[in-house]
Amino acid sequence: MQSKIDARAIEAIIQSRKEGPQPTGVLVGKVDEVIKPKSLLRRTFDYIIGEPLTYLVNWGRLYSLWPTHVETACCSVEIGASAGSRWDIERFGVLEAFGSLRQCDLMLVMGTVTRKLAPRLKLIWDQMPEPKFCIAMGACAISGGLYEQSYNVLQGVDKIIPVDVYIPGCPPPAPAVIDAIVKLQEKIRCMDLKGRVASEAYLRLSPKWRFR
Amino acid sequence: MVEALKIIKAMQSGLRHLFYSRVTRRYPEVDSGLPEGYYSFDPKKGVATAGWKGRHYLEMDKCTGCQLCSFMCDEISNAIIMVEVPEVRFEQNKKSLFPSVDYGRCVFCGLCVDACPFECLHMTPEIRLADYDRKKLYYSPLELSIQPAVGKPSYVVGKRKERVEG
Ligand code: SF4
Ligand code: SF4
Ligand code: SF4
Repeated sequence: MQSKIDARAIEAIIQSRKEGPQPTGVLVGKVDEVIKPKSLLRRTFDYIIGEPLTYLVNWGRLYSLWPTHVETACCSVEIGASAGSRWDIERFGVLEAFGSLRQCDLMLVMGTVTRKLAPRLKLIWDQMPEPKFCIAMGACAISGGLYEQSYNVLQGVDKIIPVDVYIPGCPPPAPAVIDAIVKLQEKIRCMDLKGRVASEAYLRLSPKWRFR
Repeated sequence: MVEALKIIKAMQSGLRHLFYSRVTRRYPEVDSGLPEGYYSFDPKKGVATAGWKGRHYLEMDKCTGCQLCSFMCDEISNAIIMVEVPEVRFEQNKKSLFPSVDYGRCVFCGLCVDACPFECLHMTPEIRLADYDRKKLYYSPLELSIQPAVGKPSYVVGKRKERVEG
C-alpha cells in the first residue's frame, strides 16, 4: 500500500498553524463592518447605551442556555451524567429536560443522525427562535464517526445546520461537555445585539493552545 | 397536632442536607479529580497501563513512520492520516511520515496505541478538545508531540523507557 498523504489534511494543518482562527459560520459579522470607522456621535452612543445594553443582554443569554435535547444515540447517556449532581451543568444555566422548542436557544445534537432523522432535525432547528446555538456532541454528530461512509448516516450535522462548538469524543465525558459549554459562553460574550459575533473579538478566541 | 409534626419532620429532613458534604465538583475552577495516568501499551510484554483515553501524545523521536496505527484506524473510523513533516528528520524515519489525528472522527478506542510496535503513541488525560472550528480538530504531528499540562506519563518519555515510581 502506498503512503497515504491526504492533501486535505495537509491544508488543514497548515491552516491551523497560522496565527488566529478564521471566522466561520453564520454568526460571524462581516469584517468590513467592524473595521469601518464610526462617527463621534455613534461612538458616544455606543459607549453610553450600546455597550452596557449589549453586556446586559449577553449576560441574560449566557446563563439561560435552555437546550433542546436531540437524543439520537448513546451520547445522550453522558448528558445524563453531566446533568447529575456530580457535574451539574445546571450551574451554567443548562436545564435538563425543558418543555417547548420555542423557548430554547441551544441545540444539543447527541450522537448519530440518520438520513431519515435529518429533515426532522432541520425542522426542529427552524422552529427555534434566534439567537440559537448548536453543539455537536460526539464523533457521530461531527463527522459520522464510526459510521463513516454509511449509506444511512448523515456525515456530520454541520451539513444541514451551523454548529457553534464541536465536542470530540465517543462519548465525550462530562468534563468535556462542561468545557464546551464554557467555550460557548465565551463565544456569546463576544456577540453584539443582533446575535452576531464580531470578528475582532472572535479572533481573540483560540482554545486550541490553551492547554491546561 | 399530627399534621404539625409531619411538617416539622419534613423540614427536618430537608434541613439535614445543609450539613452533608457537597457532591458536586466545582469543575472548571477546581481540578476534575479524575485519574491522571497515560494510556500506553507495552508491545514486548503485551501489557497496557490503565489511563484516561484522551488526546494522543506522539513521541516523534521514536516513531518510524511504519503506518501500523493508521492501518488499524482505517478499520474503525479512519481518523489517522499519515502526513509528511519535512522540517522534522530523524534517523529512524527517513521519509518523515508521522500520524496526524482528526479528532472529529476519532472515537478514542485506543487501538492505534495497541498497534504501535515502538511504543511511541500514548493517550493522555487531555479531554477538553472542544473547538469552534471543524478544521481545528485536525491535529498535526507537531501538535500531537506537545505534552499536555494535565496528567502524568506512566513512563519516562523521551529517553529510555523506565517505569516511574508511584
Ligand atoms: S459518538 Fe460514540 S457514543 Fe456518541 S453516538 Fe456516536 S457511537 Fe454513540
Ligand atoms: S483511538 Fe481509535 S479511532 Fe482514535 S485514532 Fe486511535 S484507532 Fe483511530
Ligand atoms: S506512531 Fe507507532 S505505529 Fe504509528 S507510524 Fe509511528 S511507529 Fe508506526
